[in-house]
Amino acid sequence: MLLVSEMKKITIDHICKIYGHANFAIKVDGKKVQKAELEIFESSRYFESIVKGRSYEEAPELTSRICGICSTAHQMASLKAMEHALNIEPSSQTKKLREVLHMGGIIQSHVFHLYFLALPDYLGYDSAIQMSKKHGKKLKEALSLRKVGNDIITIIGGRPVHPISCRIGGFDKLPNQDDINKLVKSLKEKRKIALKTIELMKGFLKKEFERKTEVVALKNKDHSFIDGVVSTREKEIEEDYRRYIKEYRGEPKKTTTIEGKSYRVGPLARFTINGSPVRKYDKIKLSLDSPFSSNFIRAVEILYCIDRSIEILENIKIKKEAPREKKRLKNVNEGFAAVEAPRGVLFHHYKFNRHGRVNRANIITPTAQNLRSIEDDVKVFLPRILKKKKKDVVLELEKLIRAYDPCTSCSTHFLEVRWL
Amino acid sequence: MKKTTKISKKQKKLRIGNFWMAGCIGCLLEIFNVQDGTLDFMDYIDIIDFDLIQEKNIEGPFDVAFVEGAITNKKEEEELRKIRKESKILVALGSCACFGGISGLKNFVRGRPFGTAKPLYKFVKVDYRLRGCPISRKEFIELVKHLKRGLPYRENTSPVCTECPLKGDDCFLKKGIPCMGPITAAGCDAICMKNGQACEGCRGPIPNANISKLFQMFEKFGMKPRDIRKKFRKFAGNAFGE
Repeated sequence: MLLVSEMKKITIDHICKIYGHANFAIKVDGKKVQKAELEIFESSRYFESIVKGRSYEEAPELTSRICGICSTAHQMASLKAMEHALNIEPSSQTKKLREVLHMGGIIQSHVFHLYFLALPDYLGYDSAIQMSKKHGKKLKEALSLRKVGNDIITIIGGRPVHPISCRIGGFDKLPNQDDINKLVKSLKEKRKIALKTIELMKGFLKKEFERKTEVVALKNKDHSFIDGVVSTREKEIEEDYRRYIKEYRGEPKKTTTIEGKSYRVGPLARFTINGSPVRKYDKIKLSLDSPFSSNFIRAVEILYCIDRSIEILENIKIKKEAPREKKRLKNVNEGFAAVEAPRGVLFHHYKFNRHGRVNRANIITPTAQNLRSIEDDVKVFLPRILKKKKKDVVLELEKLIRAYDPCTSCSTHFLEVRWL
Repeated sequence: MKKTTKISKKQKKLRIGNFWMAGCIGCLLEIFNVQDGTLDFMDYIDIIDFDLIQEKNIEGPFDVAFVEGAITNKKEEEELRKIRKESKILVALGSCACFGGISGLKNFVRGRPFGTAKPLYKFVKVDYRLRGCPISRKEFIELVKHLKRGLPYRENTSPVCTECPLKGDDCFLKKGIPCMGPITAAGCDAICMKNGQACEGCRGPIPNANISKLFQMFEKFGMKPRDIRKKFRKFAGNAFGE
């Protein structure tokens, strides 16, 4: 047990990515947490500078490489921003296919998080690999559910990581109808697993910890992940995002606040603003101020993505069409777009000149926005659990941080904890 | 040498470690995606260090270490040297690890205000490379099968054109669209061309590639030399020449 009276420094070594690996450092004085900070020790990759001086057409391809897990989200945001700048309205077929493609990304990311990063914590295992003896069936099902997400991206986008076929104004290559029909069939088969996942995650819903914050998500009627107006609890902020969201460019990480306070993006924020994406779960009792509810919401979102994909794909007849193009560029072209990435709202904002060269780029990832909220959560959460054993304190903290699914991978990067 | 594809049960599994430097984790994710059905992977390997999905990682020794990403700071460099010491075979995973890749683009920002990102071979001996952004799952499986049987693995040295389905007038170069297929190493199944895009050279050059000829060709297409240089180093650092 910890002695609460003395001054303590806790470092959780080696978490991973915002853009990489990180520690979590905590300083406790008596019952008060003085400092709770994610320390990132990897150098940033400076995507905002990398796209500068290059053609606007390269931005989707380059920014996709920000993250291998949500590469589709980055591509969608950057395509939409460029189309906004050029005033191109893509065809309805393009929009529908993109929406499904993007949902494929959400499915694979959410399943990965729920079964391979979060579930071992809740079932008391170190990793999914150890789980495989007793819970092999569950994991096999999870893999096949995740595969359907990957299949969507492969069939529409060309490959599961860093899809190829999307371009500004449309698609370079359209999927063929046979593949789409097969996809619908397998989506229908996998629906049961999604339902099982929801039941599984429902079991872990506990009212453990609450902290009310501002939230930001795309507001829309049909719960689309790719369209909508950027909103907080009360206001629609859309392109004015810079007036509300303040960015802090630390080295190497970027963090954000609204009115000087941390805020949340992601499943909780989406649920708070738009309600449940599947009507059946509208009335379920869950705290929208507790990050621990996120996993359940992710499970519901998987089901929504499957249902919505089936709905769109069943009613689509792929017809050949060329990407819509813009012939002349203005002297200054500026475009902004926001999409809901698996971890929350993602902003892409570009300016380029009449030669098509990008001269300004601003990208705000969901994890960057959640960072301060994670830190603030820890400050409130830690004093409540300090009486527990060291091991349990760390596990609880990790669970909390993981509930945000900070750019996936990070989640299991906590290797050792130094208690100073 | 025996030509069986099945692994005898007596043979031990490969003890592998998966590591991640400055990259997007896409290549490691592709390793994870291998489980999507191609083979029952756990028959071949024993993952003992993969901090993406597990917490208690064993520090070695490894039969094979896969390292994704470029090296951007001292800490990563030290980690890489440690991994090298503990591994029989070290594989550079993806273009960031092989060439610097997209992570290495910051090396070209004037004055290098953001530091550098260097490929693994600048620091340690790299036994095998899996090139591409992201890697090709097929090549990864091939490599693992070879290593498992103790066979040396040879990199693909033919150009992407040999795998490209666009023949004759469909060829991007015939249409005047800059495509790096002729100088880029194959092994990707020409996946970009199959999806309607020209080759961007993510897998780096083949040996003895006629780079200057393609450079001249792109100039004829109306590209400015500095844009061509930018294109050449997008994924492969200086591998296509400075």
